Amino acid sequence: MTGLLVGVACFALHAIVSLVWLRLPGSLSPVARHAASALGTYAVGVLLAAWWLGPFAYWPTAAVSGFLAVCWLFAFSAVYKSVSLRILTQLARTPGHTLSLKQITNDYVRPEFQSRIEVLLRMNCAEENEGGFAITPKGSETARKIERIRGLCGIDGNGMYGNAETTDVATTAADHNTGVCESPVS
Amino acid sequence: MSVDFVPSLGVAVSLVACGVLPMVLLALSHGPLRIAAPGNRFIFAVAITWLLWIAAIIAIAPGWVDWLTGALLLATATLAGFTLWTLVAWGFTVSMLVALCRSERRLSEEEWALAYTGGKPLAAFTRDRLGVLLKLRLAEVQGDQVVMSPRRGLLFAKATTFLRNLFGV
Repeated sequence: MTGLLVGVACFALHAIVSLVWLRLPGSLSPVARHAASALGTYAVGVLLAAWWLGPFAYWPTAAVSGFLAVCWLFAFSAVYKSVSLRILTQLARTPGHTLSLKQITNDYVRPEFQSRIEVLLRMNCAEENEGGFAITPKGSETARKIERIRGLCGIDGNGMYGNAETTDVATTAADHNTGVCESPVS
Repeated sequence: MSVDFVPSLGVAVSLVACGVLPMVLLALSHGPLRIAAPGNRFIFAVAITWLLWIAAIIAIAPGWVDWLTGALLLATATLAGFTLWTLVAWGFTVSMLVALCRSERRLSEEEWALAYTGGKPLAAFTRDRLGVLLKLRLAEVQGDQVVMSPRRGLLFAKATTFLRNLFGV
């Protein structure tokens, strides 16, 4: 029982630290801040609890703290990145809660696509000049790793929900196999 | 100062179950057991793992703290696995990078969008992501209009706005 309560206390500390840290400027990504905060506050919490409370079981603490921290990160990731939830909140703000498909595409989805391009440019995974966008060596290496992981997991398609749900890996891998960014499933 | 790091039998079994989940997922990704749809595959892997865990826990019959600890450990592994799985299968930025790599040439923004959607207009991507809202009955399509569900949709939208404000997004 003590272990479970220590876990809850560790998470409470993590929640406070992460909420403050996420609002501060800095180069560290939000997910990295979540991870660093969760690990740091957990270590501090366990050490303090062992010092103040005496012997307690480690695993209940780890289970409670870990579960709450993952739920916390899950909630953050959903509202931070989800295109679907972004569309939903825009619908809620619109009079009549109605938008046309064209309006959603032009006003919300296209800017989202452009913001992801910015992310890839900032990460030096893509480069831009007058001729358009091209993959960089770093981007190519990263894409190859992603393709390897997708191959290991038997996942192909283009990342669309509908496509991924219906595409058969064995039949489409060859279509995407283009040498530089070689699909491992072939 | 003392912390007992040795897991009980119930916790040890739960830790093993956490490791079994990715193995079941991989087993369902290839060969005769393969389930084609990634979403269904993950659900099946989770169901098999949890059923195995429940059977083991019933056989062991640990105390409630160990039972709760084990359930939380496996729930953590399930949520973490789901996050990684969705990123690999449907990640937006990740898929855009792969599309650019597969094209093997310079692309304009429009061409990049076409490469990402598999030759369909960007509106196809909009419909694709709207599919989540439609499945969860948070919105519905009426002709070319998307209408938010008055109760459920508004509730989710309010919860999302609350979380965005809470996290400072």
